[in-house]
Amino acid sequence: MKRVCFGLLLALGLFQGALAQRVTIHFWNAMGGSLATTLNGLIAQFEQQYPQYHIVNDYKGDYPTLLTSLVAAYRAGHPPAIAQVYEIGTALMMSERQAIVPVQTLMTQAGYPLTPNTFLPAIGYYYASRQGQLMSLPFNSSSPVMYVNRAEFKRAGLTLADIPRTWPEVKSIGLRLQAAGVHCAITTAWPAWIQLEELSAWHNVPYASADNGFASFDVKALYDNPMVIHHVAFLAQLERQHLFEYGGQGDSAESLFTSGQCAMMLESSGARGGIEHNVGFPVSVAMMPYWPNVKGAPQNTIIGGASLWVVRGQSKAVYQGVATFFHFLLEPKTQLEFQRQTGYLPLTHAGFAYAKKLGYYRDTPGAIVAVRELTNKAPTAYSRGIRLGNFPQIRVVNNTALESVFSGQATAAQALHRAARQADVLLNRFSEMTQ
Amino acid sequence: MNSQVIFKNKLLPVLLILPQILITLVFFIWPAFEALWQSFFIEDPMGFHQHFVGLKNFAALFASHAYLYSIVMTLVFSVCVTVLTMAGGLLFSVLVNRVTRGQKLYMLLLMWPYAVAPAVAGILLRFMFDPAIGIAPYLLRHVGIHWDYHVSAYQALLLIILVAVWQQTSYSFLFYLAALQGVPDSLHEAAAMDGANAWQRFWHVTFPLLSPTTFFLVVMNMLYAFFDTFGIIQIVTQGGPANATQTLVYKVYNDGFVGLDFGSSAAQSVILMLVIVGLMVIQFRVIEKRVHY
Repeated sequence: MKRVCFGLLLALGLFQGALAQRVTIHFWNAMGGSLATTLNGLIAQFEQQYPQYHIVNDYKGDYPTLLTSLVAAYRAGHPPAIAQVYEIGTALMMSERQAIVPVQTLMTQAGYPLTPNTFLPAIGYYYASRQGQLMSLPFNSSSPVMYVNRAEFKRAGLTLADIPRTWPEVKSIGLRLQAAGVHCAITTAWPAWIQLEELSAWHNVPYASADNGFASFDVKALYDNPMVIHHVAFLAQLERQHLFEYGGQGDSAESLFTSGQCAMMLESSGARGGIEHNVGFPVSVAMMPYWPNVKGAPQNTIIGGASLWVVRGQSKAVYQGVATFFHFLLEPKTQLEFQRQTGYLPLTHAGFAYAKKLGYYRDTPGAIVAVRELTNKAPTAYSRGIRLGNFPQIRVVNNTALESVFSGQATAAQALHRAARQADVLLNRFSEMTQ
Repeated sequence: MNSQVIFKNKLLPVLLILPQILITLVFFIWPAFEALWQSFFIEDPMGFHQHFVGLKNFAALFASHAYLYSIVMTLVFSVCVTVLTMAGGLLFSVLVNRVTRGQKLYMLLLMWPYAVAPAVAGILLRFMFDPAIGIAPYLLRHVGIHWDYHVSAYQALLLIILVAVWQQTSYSFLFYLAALQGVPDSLHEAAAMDGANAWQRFWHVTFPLLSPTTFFLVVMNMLYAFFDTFGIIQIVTQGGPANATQTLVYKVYNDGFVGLDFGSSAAQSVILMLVIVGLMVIQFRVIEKRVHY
């Protein structure tokens, strides 16, 4: 008996020894629901391929909560190796240079060289420093697209060819839908992101000074310009005609579309997987509408979503593991699987070419729309991204401003001028904070 | 009769209150000083550089429209919640006190909401009042009210008041019921013999005797409305729409933990501390004088 016990103990000890040799990498992320399933699948594949590494999938809640946790953990001296930070946290992370390891440096040192040019232009340059170095790994990238309820279109005697391409068409088609008894023609998720930020890039109109904040942190908001004001006033007018329904900040407008109340919705391409699974009617995906009277429109959209940042203070073995994991994520095969399961965009040129070659976009026409928007034209200084400090709060200010327009408390011009000045205060505050 | 206990050993009393003092120091006094200290600085989120700015954080707050609005909104919200919960609690307790059959059952049902976690209460009412899928907006549509608290500031404020009142009325009910049961019947009988009707008996005999409880409940409900409603707001409105339901406490959280602006958030905490101290002083100085024990 004693010998058996001893043997067992020895075996346990050896087993633990084998486990201890695996390098543990903490990966903080905000991927809940079906995204968590996808991520767990990817991690399992990675660990099978590279058994020496163990990735701990730490779901930390939504993006703001994750960033707060990261700041707290960094201050307490226990940060994770990898943190997923949403795109509007990019300026903040870049200003905290001392806390991070640039991804380009990490990958090059680990023997997997890459540059922003490895990625699709609108994706790589979004996360590149002023010197052109890739700072974080683009991960889940999305772009807003228009979802269309084909059942409602059919009810109004409309076909796929009638899906509006411009905002004036949204109105005329909306009136026909309304005449056929459709409760609301269009709604939007993420109002500040889609109706202000993406709108500006899509029309190549500056959102902020200093090349949308890419050239310096000394920035002023410029989105209270005639083009944006006209657009928001137009939406408010549609709302009064019951063609547009406001569904709240965030993605709560999704329920207006999935419940069949609104026939069209502007929402992230990343939501496609969930929407197609959850609704009982056929859905089409189309490009965001544009204003035909704006010269050069449509330009290209900018990415939303998040990137992976590598935090300082880990051992060399951990960093080698992180680089290996990133390399795995960038393999065209992994990217295709990620796209297939989530609706997020391909990241690298190689990943896009691979998915195309295998006929993914032919079989899933909804998936190519966001890529087309993103690569519609070569990005300009005003369409490659927006990099602002205190961006999360500026979004709150902008959502608030839009809400006050849609609730009839202010005109578009009043609300946007006020919001832009409030944003200036926040931008000024950020440059003070990071001095 | 001398009710004062005298310790012969000087060390023992100190030892006995030490745990409480330690807890107060570690969890209340220390953070309070930390907040005071931080309110004079501007720093980046990760804490690499921190610089002294004097009273600039405070000046920025009082120059901000959003902050001034938040002060007014918090006061309106707190007064509404306090008055409504206390009126409701008093009404229900008087009614239950008169019930002879099934009193326990009524008590149980009326105290139930208090046992529901704020987050659960918030989720429940959010479902019921959701403009797209809720039952309440559906019913309200029949009487011509367009309910959408994502858009209407008044409706959002009304909704969080409703959730808070629904939860907190039980608390007032419980204390009022206990107090009512402590009012001697002989006083009522004497008043009745003097010809006072039921309303007069309540207003001139019972209500003054409830004044210590009323005072206690004013303080507790005010504190509740100021500080404990965070969970409800976070679940139901997240401070929106257009920051219409952003109370002072919610703003401290929002600017500090979401915005990562620790200087401004600390300055707001300091102001909040002063506001609460001020409120308490007013309540104890002014109102307590009218309380009959």
